[in-house]
Amino acid sequence: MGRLPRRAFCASGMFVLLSICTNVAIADESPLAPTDINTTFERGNQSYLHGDFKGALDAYEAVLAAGVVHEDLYYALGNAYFKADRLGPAILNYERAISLTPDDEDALTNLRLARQTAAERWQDKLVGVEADPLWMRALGYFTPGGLTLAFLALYGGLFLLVLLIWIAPRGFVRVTATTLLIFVVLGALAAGGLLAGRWWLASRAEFGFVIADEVQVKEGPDSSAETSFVVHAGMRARSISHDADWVKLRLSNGLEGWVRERDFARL
Amino acid sequence: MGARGRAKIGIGLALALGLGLGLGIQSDALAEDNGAQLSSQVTATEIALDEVVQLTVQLTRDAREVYRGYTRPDFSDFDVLHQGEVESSQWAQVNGQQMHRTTEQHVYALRPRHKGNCVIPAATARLGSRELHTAPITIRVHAAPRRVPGVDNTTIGAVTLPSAPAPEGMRGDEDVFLEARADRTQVFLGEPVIVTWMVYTQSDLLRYRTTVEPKHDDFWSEDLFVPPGALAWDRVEVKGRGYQAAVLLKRALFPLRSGKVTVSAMEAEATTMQTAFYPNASTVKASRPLTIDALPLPAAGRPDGFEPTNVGRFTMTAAVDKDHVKAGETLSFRVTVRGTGNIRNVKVRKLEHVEGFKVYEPSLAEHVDRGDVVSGERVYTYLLLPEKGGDLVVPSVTLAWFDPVEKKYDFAKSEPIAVHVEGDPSAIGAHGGAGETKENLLGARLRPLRNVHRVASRIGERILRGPALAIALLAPPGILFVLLVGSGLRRTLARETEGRRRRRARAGARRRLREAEVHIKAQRPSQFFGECARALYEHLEWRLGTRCEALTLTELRALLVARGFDAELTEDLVGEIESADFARFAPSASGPGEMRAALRRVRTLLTAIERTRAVGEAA
Repeated sequence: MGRLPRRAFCASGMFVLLSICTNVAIADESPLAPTDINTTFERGNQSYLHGDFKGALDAYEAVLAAGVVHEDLYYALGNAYFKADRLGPAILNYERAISLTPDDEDALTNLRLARQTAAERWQDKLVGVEADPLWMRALGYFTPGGLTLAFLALYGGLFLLVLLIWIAPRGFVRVTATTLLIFVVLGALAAGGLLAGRWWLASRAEFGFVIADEVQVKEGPDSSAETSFVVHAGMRARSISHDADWVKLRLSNGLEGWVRERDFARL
Repeated sequence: MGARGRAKIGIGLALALGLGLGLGIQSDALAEDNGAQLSSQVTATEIALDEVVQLTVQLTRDAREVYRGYTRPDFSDFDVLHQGEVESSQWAQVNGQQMHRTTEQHVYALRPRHKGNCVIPAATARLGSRELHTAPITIRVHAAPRRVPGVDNTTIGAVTLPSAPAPEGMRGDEDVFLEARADRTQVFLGEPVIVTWMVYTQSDLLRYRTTVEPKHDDFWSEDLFVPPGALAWDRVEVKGRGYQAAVLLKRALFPLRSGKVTVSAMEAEATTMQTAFYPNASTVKASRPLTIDALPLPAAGRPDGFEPTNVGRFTMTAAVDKDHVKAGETLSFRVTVRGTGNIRNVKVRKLEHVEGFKVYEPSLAEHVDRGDVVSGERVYTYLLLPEKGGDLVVPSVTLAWFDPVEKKYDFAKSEPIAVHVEGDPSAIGAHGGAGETKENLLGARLRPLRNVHRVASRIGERILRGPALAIALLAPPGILFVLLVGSGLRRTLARETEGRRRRRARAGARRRLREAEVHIKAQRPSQFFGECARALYEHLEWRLGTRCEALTLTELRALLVARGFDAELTEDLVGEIESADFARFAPSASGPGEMRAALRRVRTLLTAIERTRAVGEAA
């Protein structure tokens, strides 16, 4: 076996191994089998269609607990919560659906309607609101899943090109691969940067929404602490620290306070 | 040649090409001399007194020949309505010689002055010293017009030029003339005036284009005739001259206001056969503008609620599609207005309320015929839903109009129509409910669930939220690292070192000696000594770096000495190899004892070989 085929053989073998490992890792590790998930989801749909919104919520939440992350599930949850007159979770789930598919027209419409309905019941007026930084808003246009795939494709392509350059003899193929490598590196850097930003937003910034209809925000993580202010369902806030079952929120105008963790849900 | 002359040529050419050549030649007279020809032809030899015959005299000659002139016939029996001439040249190569011939045609439109035989005398052409003459032609002229039913006059040769009133402003010598003619200049409001735009030309119109359409903003118009493609030509006589005339546009114009209302001029660009070969060949012509006096409708006798657009002569009928219906069924009530006039704008008073019926908005259909006048019909169809049972009546409908011919108002009134309704529509809820509007408030509503029955996390999400992301991130550099390390290791292992070579030589020697011991036990002296010799040779080859087995003993000895082996060792080695060779080929002389002794010697020699530093070997 010559130098070239041996290297190619080794590289191919390693990538086959990688593929197997990745497939194993990607495989859904939810506690429910896919058929059970779909059955449960369908049961939720039927309950919803027949006006049993409590039953629909139970089914959808079971699917969610199984680890399914899908805009259709969030949309259905949003609708079920809306119909069950729980505007906070409805808004949260519509927002989740939109975070996965920013141009989801159904979710956008229903979110608008949910916010209108909430505004008719109570109105939280924030004074001195600071808008999110531009980069945060820009990141909202990219879905995490899409960014992940794009980044991994470029990242894998980058190493494939390196291998190709290593394997290929000097000549056209190597020159082309080297040129391509430059672009792939740039693309991978861009996608990686966006993905990292998205990851930071999800794991560190911890944006979320108030899901209880009305929440008294305390000065400290104690129910006997003085109430600082009151917020209502759908209020967007950022969780900045935790203490037992309390979470400290910061509103977009800088107001801070403590609420029970159950009253706040991360996006 | 002046304009008048060119006009004559145009007339001649048009007549010659359009009639003389295309219609068949009835008679001719030919004079020929030395290649020159003079001929005459008429379109008919028998015509009526009021008909016209066309004479064409054609002279064909060599252009190089001296031409002294042409004399037309003396038309004492005919009036010459018009005449024209056209000339053409031909060049040709005949047997290597260039021929240049000239043909000229003289065309005459002739009307006989009397009945009986009318003679067209000879025409004369003078060429050099010669004269050519045509033969006289006799035309028989009848008193009464001779017509062949169903056959165009022109096909029998006679040319009929119907007299038409000369267009206003036309002198009769124009090559092209545009005319706008209204059938009347005073009309009532809403009464149509038919305006016809025509083009007159003495020669063939090669190209024609309307550049400015006539404007008539104070009229509602209906096109009666628009040429579908090529213009349709008629021959007419205007002020004693023959013209071709064609209708460019015919419109019915209905005045929308009373007073003097104008129709602006039509302008057109025309190129005739006469002008085609001249610079600025196209000529722009304009018709005269028209002024129409639109009279207001008389107030006397005007019915109440009269629609001022109802001008014309109309009839009206009204009918239902069925006069017996069941409760809940509808019936159609159709009002049809037919007549001549402004049919598109005729308005029948709307049927607002009919006792016992729900009346729906009528549908409207109309059909307009366009000919010399505007006529047609207009149909209003009402849908009636009975709201009561029993005998009901659809009332009469009245249409009033102004008749511009009789100059009075007139009207038509339909008869009431009886309709029997079986059952009680109110009992079945058929009392106009279908037409009532119910407010259906469509505010913002929650969008429904999607028609989705399966959900599963998308692969991107699964990777992002599971261990696959770490694997996918670490694996590529890991694989690359393994490959690089493996490659380096393989290169390292593949490298040949002195120690490696020594170890390999020792291993080889040990293997040989083990084999030799096996041969001692098996009493195979030949194989034993073979192994011993090969062990020595291989060890020497490792030490010297060269093949030794192929050398003779003398050469081996010399090589060993040359590479620094001491003489004693050299002799021992050579001797041992020689002994082994001898013993291999005389095995019966070697017992186990001798073989063991030889094995010991070989071991000693192998050790000595290792200890000896050969010349040229690295320290």
